[in-house]
Order: sequence, then structure tokens, then C-alpha cells
Amino acid sequence: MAKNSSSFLSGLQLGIPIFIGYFPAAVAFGLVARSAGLLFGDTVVFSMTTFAGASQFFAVNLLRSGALILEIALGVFLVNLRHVLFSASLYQKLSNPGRAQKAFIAFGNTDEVFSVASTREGKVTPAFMAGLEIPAWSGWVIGSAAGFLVGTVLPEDLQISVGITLYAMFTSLLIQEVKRSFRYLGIAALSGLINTVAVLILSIAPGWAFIISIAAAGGIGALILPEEDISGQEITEGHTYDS
Amino acid sequence: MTPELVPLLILCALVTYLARAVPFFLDWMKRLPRGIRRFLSIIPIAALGALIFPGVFMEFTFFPPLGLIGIAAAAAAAWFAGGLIIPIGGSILVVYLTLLLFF
Repeated sequence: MAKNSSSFLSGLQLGIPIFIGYFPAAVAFGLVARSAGLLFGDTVVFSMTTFAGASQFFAVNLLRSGALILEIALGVFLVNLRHVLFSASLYQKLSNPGRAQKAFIAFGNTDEVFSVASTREGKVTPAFMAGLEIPAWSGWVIGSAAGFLVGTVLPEDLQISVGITLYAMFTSLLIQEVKRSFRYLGIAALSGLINTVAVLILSIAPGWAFIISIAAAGGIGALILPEEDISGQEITEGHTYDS
Repeated sequence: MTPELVPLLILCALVTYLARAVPFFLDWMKRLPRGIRRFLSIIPIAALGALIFPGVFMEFTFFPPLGLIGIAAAAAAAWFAGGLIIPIGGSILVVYLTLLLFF
């Protein structure tokens, strides 16, 4: 038991930086949600229940462009498919989780939580994961609320400027990947190009266009990228990748 | 709360949770076929491209290139400084200054 409680604290120590990292992104989400016409309650409940940055930005943007709920949900599902890999990997790293613990830990398995947990040596305990996930979730929810409220007092020019936040965030995330391999830039450019043609020229509904774009660019990437680029992405303790 | 949004919020929460939780309860998911794993591992990168384009052209309808200026600032800051806070803050600042100076 002593080991578990100290584990919660060591999780908390690593969870605080995630809180700090999430907060500004969540503020941006609160601002974007407000400008898309969501109410305060919508914004906070969205962050509390979905707890997925890219997906929430994506959903709000699609909503603003008038997409259907089903399109949005399918798009969100696709954006989140990567979590299947994260969770499969984290499950193997957990020491003896119970059913309720698994259900709880899965909820908070975001990209950042996963990358912190997966770079720990050896197994991690459910208590450690709780210490990691609780501040992460709090940062996301409190930041979303703060962003929404801040939006009501920002000068108009600044509110317009904040519209770039989402794209600045995606661009920064992409550059981090491109630093690992320039070929990723090609994959992202390809999906961006397909999406642009689909939306602006073919007038395909944004939700479907998004799905088509990432399925096509992802499929081509999986076929043509050299093994080293994929293994760099590989995060499960892969039996299939050993050879 | 907006009543019309409730189904959307429920669906988003549900599909997000499903993607995160199912592997914890289905052991065969630990050993997905190699092709599917390759595909899933590329998806985040492909998604970023489609999340940026063409949305970034449609953000500032009065002057669409402003979006490109903003992400160019973010890309430069992300390349040289790294992280998220400096690129996002810098990008907002560049867009804001452009607005103040030219519009």
C-alpha cells in the first residue's frame, strides 16, 4: 500500500507539468468554442466528458461549418483511432489493473498522458496513472472554462486573432513530427491537399472530406513509408516488429 | 446547455472513450496485424494535414492569406523554439500585429 500511495504522488509530480501544458491549449479551446456559439455549459461539459483536444477543436470547427452530427462523430472517432494503439500499449505496461481501474485509466489516456507513462521504466501502477491523469483532466477542464470566460472581455481584434490558435497548435504538432522525419511533411501535405480539393473544389461535406483525406493519406503512408519511419512511431512492445 | 448539442456531446464522448477503452478489455488487440498498425500509426500525421487545410484559408474570410502568415509564424517558432506555448502565443501575436498595422 505504501508503494501505491507513493506511486500516486510520483504520478502527480509528472501530472502537474501536463496540467500546465494543457491549460493554454484549453483556454484556446474555450475561446474557439465560444466564438462557434457554444454556451458555457456546453463547453465545460464537452471538455469534462470527451477530454480530447484535437477532437474537440475539430468537432467545434465542423459544427461551425454546419456539418451533421454523424459526420462529426465519425471524424472524431477517426482522429481518436490512434488511441487504440496507445491503450493497447499502456495496458501491457500496467501492473495488475482491476476492471474498474482499467475503465478509469482508459478515460484519461490522452497523447501526453500516454507519452509520459510509456517512457517510465518498468511497470506503472493504477495509482500512478491516477496521479498523472487527474491533474491533466483538471487542467483541460479548468482551462476550457477560463478561456470561455476570458473570451467575453477580449478586445475584438484580439478575438479575431485567436482564431489562428487551432492552426498554430496543429502546425506546431506537425513540426515536432517533421523534425523526426521529413517524409511526414509529405503525408500531411498530401492529406491537406486532398482535403482542400474535396472541400473547396468538389464541395464534399467537411466531415466526409476529412475522413477520406486521412484514410487516403494514411493508407498511402502505410504503404510507402520506410520501416524506420513507422518504427519510430511504433509504441506497442511489438512482437511483430522484432525481426 | 444547448439541447441540440447534447446528442453530439454524448457521441463524441462515447467514440473517444471507445477508442481508448476497448484495447484494455480485448486482449487480441495487443497483436493487431502489422498493416493495420502501420496505418494507425500514420493517422495522427495525416490528420494534422487535413486539420490545417483548408480550414486555415477559411478562418479570416476578409483576408485568407492571414491564416498562412499565422501558421508560418507558428512553424518557425516550433522549429526553432519547440513546444506549444511559444509557437501558439507567437502566432497569435503576429496575426494581431498584422491586423493592427494593415487593417
